Amino acid sequence: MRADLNTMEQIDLYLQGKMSATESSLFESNMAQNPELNALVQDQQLLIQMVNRKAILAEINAVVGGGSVAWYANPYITFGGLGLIVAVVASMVYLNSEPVAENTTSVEKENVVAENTGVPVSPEDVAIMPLDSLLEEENGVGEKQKNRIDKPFANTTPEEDNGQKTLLPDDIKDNGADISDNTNNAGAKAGDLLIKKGKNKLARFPKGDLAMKEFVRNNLVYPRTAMDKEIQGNVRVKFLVDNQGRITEIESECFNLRDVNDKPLNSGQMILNQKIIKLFENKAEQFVRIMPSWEPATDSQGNPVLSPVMLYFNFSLVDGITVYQLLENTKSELIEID
Amino acid sequence: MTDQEVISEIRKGRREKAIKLMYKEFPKIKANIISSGGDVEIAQEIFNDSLILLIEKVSNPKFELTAKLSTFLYGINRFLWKNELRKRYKNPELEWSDTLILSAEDLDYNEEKEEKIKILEKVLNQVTERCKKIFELFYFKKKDMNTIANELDFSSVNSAKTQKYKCMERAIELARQFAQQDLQPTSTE
Repeated sequence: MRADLNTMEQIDLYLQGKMSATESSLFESNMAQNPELNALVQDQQLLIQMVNRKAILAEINAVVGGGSVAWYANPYITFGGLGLIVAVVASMVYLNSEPVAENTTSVEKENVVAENTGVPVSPEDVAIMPLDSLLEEENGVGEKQKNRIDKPFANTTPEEDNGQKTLLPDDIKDNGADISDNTNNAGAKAGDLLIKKGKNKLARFPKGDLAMKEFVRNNLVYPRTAMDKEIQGNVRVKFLVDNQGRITEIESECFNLRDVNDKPLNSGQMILNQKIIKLFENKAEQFVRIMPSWEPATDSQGNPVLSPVMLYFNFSLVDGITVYQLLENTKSELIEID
Repeated sequence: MTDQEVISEIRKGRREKAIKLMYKEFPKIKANIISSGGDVEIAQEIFNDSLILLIEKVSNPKFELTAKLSTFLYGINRFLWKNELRKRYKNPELEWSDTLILSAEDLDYNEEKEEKIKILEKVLNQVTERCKKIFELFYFKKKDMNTIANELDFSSVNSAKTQKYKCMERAIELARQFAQQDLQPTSTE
């Protein structure tokens, strides 16, 4: 018993690197000669590793609240999160209907100002998310927002292109991959856990994001007056796509204007620039109106259904005009037709 | 907070901030995993595993960051997810943008060892609370035996030491039993 205790103490010292060089080389040669000892060292090392992992996992769970989806489902620094908050504040300030008295509002306002300085507008920025700038974004902002933009139109993912007949070679390749994936799913024992592809899809621009980008490039121009005045802005456009892909009920709202340095305009300037706001809104709305019919959303059975869609337009002097679709979970909002 | 600051925080044992920061990457990673056949639960599991692996890696003073920390995290996630898919008898091409492609060697990831560690998780669930406490204080929080004896009300340092080694002995014994069981072809799962 005593000898064992000593051995284990030695192992501890060895594993913690607290032995001197000679001691540890002696110990290692001991290990090489004695498989029993060797096995013991390995077991003990693994045990220690597991102890540590368990403790770290406990820490992780403590930090994120035991796997609840609540707070980390916050938006990245994207238009979704930013935009909606800006919209709240902007409309409050802009309409000037009530004095901005509540604490919450002023907090939000501060956040907006802080965030606006570093708004990433290009698709790459949204995709990569630099850690340092993330830190600046405090949790408070995100908690209020459930919706977020999952990805810009620039990046297509295979999932999105699933089951569509399209001329883009990439998409065709993706189709092939998906089909084989599906057959695999059926065979795998964890198959029931996997997402059923091709169902519960959101409505999307025909032929997907790339086609949409192309359409944006060909059909949207920066409003002349806005360009002359060097004003940038964001517009949110809501509309419904019915089960045949027709677009109805278009609503647009310009919720944010910025000057050439990306600084948001104050309420006074906003009022002076009513015209620009209208200009941006009309531009975006008109774009939606001339779009071809969309591919409707589908329910869990794969039937086309009516669904709301939200597009965010970013008019940027640097990056031109980019359009993002808000990819939120619309499951609860889907209205079943039949 | 720069990557280097995050790393030094982790090395000092102040992981909380780092974990919070890393968790901001989770939605994107989750989206990637779900888009290639996963679900929320597995995404969560993979992500937590990746965090643990990252913290283990970073805690090693010899570790040198060659890419951005977030990119590295993506790489680990991609690797772990691919590994998981392989276990489900699939061999997909994962197209994650902006990702480091990491191999098992890059990560020093040994499947056999990971399996063994998994067994030890079961073992740790079976040892007594007191044993767990001792292990955690000694190996994770790196407290010395004096402090542990005090904290857990042992009559002396020696009795704490004896207790620790009894726990270790028991755990290793259990681990070997489990390993034996796992070798049997009629294992559960």
